Amino acid sequence: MSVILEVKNAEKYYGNKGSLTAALNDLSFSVEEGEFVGIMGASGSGKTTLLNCISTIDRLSAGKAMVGGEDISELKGKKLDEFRSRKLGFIFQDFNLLDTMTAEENISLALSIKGEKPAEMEKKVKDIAEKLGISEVLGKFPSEMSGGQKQRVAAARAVVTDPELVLADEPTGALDSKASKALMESLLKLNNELGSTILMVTHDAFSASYAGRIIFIKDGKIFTEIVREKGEERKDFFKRIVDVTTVLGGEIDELI
Amino acid sequence: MNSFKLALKNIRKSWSDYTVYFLTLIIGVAIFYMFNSIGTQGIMEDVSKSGNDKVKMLITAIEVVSVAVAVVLGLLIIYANNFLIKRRKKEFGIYLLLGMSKKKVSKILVCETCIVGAVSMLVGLLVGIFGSQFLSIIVAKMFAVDVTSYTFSISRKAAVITVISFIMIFFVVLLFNTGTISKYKLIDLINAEKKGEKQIIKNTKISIVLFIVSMIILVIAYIRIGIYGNRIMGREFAFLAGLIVVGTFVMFWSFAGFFQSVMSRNKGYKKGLNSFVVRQFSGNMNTSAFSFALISLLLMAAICAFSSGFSFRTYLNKRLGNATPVDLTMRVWSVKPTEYLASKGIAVDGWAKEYIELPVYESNEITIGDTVAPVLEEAKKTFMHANWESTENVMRLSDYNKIERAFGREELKVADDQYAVVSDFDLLNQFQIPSIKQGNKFNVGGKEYGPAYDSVNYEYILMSGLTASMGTIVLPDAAVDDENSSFRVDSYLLIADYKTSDKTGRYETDALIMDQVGASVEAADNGEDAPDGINIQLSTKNQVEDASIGISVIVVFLVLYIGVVFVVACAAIIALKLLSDSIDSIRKFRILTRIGAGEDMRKKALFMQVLMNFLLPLISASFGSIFILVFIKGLLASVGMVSLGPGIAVSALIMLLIYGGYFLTTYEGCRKIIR
Repeated sequence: MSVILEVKNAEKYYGNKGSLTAALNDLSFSVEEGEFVGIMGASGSGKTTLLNCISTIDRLSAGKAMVGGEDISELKGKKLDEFRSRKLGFIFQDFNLLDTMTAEENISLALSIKGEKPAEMEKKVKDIAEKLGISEVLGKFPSEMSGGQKQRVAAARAVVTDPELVLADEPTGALDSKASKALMESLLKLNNELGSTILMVTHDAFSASYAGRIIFIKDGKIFTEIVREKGEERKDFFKRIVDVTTVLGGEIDELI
Repeated sequence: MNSFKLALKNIRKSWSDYTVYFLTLIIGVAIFYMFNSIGTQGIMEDVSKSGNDKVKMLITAIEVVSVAVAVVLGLLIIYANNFLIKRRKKEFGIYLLLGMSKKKVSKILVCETCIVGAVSMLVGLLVGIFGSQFLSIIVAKMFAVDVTSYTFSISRKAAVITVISFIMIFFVVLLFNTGTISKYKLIDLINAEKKGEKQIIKNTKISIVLFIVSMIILVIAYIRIGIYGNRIMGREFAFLAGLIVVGTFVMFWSFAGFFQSVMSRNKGYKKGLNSFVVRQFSGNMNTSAFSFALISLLLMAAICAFSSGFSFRTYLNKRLGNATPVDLTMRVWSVKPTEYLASKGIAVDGWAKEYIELPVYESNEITIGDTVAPVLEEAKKTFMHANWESTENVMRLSDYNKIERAFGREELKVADDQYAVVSDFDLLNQFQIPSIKQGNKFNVGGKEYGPAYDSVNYEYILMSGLTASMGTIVLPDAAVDDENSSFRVDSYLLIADYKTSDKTGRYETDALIMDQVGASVEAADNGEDAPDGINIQLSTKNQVEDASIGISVIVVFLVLYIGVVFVVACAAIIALKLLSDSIDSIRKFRILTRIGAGEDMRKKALFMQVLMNFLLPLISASFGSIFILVFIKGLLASVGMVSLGPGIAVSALIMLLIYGGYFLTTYEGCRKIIR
């Protein structure tokens, strides 16, 4: 299995000369093809900064982030656009669907930006919609869909281009528990059946329990990492995650 | 920080949002000043000095139109201001959240409005003052008026009117603004950005059907006007105008649905960001179909006004070209003009190089009613108070042909048993022409006379420029000379050329004559009896030229005024709408960036979006204008006008400047916001 994402000694500072805040502090990890990795941490731990830097929305102050062997900090202009449209897929907390376009158009827009032929587009959109159970809402506008449906449409848009890496930023943040479950199952399905590599930032232990590996971040550094073992029940993995988040929350430190 | 400083800071900060607002205000103030200062403008001063009532009337017309223009500009400014407020809801929300009172926020807004108002008024006035100099030079060139005497002038009256009007407008804006803030709930202000526009979804099938129906209605109405326009009567005209208005509204209402379904069937729809652009555009058309329809109608009015107004100017200049073949024409009742003038101490020989004196006859046997006998009943119905029993002017053929020679026109040929009608009085012509065509005959001195020509000879006898002169029946000399005839002399005509041939010289001679007979001429103009009991009519080459220039200058001014205001209003509304929408677009374009749409792609999408919004109403307006201009052309051709070309060229240029300017400003503004 090849390495899809490799983050090496990543550092990110905010502020000016007088006062520097390190959002990322010498952070390194990698994600292999077909993995479903969750990143957890409290607010302000740097997880969103990390995602922003990987998704090329922000730039690292120091260190490297490689996607598919390409150093993304060196990408500029057209190459950067191409990188975004071909190698990355995004799922956001607030869906980020274009509300003037139907679900079908939202999904195929990702393909048309990539320069795909219209004939193939239709089939791809149909296939992915079927997999995510949104075939019946394809002709609808975002305002006519439920939150869960919107997020699955967003997921479909993220993976329809067959990206090397799908980045999900709190995908269940705006969903109720039922919709969250449905979405996470969809993501898992994508991971299992299509082999999509997913990197998901969340602070919801339940959503995280669908991932195969969780990286915990605290103060810009990796705090710990846990892996769901083969045959381990999701319930048990969930318990382990909750245990770590308790420690991560700081209570243990204070006790010691 | 006090309110004033905060307001100043706000304006500086959101300068790019204010660009279109400022631009519109400045243009508004400048136009308002420029047109209100017409009366005191160099060349207009000369023209109005000549004391022509029609010129005075038209200057009053501009003042009346100005009131309407002030209302339009006022509404536009309120509209623009609302957009600005909308755009800054969140900012105000945060002020309130931080504990600032609504009163204080309103105060900041008042300060902002005042600063913006004061600055734009000042700049607008400056632009207006310089613009009006420029305008008068252009107009002077256009009408071949001597500009050597030109001086820089500032109209105090116009400046005061402008300042007062705009202070009133801004006062209304202030009331609106303070009202807006106290009306909103904090939650709405804070969340203003998140609220996307409501998606109005219309039934596609109904839209397509309605669009096609509205197009058919419009095409039928336009073709009726454009091709068969000359047969349309007053009432049908109103009906067709109504049809066009309704058709345009329905067309814009259904356009989005139609456009969307046509485009989405197109292969290119799913190429790049095309689907996004189409959706955005049809979404916009859906939510603001009403304003776009209105804009389209206003633009159509502006295009037609521009094109025909400028062509009318060309026509006037042309008509003027042969309206003054001699230096003076005069008609005097009861005495011979030469004797009359000599008695006033200005004998003709003293100032005239050449002159002819001719008698005009009348007879109870030829009344005005007789000349329209076959259609008299109809004529009586149309002009109920006209005296159809009054006698018609009659001239001997040889006398009349002297006038023809003096004016450089072709001589009339009238046989012994024939008559000719000479008239440029359209109101009467509409009855005289059919009468002649029906071979109307009349009996004078026991002899019957039939028409020599198959229509009225469209000629004047007294110089009058654009107004009609007297209508006259020309009879063979023998008919009048007969000893037993009932003809008696009604009045005498004097046609003269001055000894001087340049314009200044003519003014001097004019003054010489008018000093003596001015009071009588004025009395005649006012329909009163002359102070000395001798009624006269007199016009000179200079008077007629000045009056005609004045009239056509004002026609051009009015057309420019209304047209420019309309176009500015339309372009500003589109610009403001797009700019305020671009707040919503920031989010959309961010999404596009994230799913990998490159900068070129996004720029192109934005450009297309702005372009389509500006273009659609223009296309719709141009389409209608073509037919309406064909109609106007037909209308003007009947009074001897030929080409609309120059007018259309000028209007295209003005449209390009104003409309194109707003388009570019909007695109730049949107790009700044979206970047």
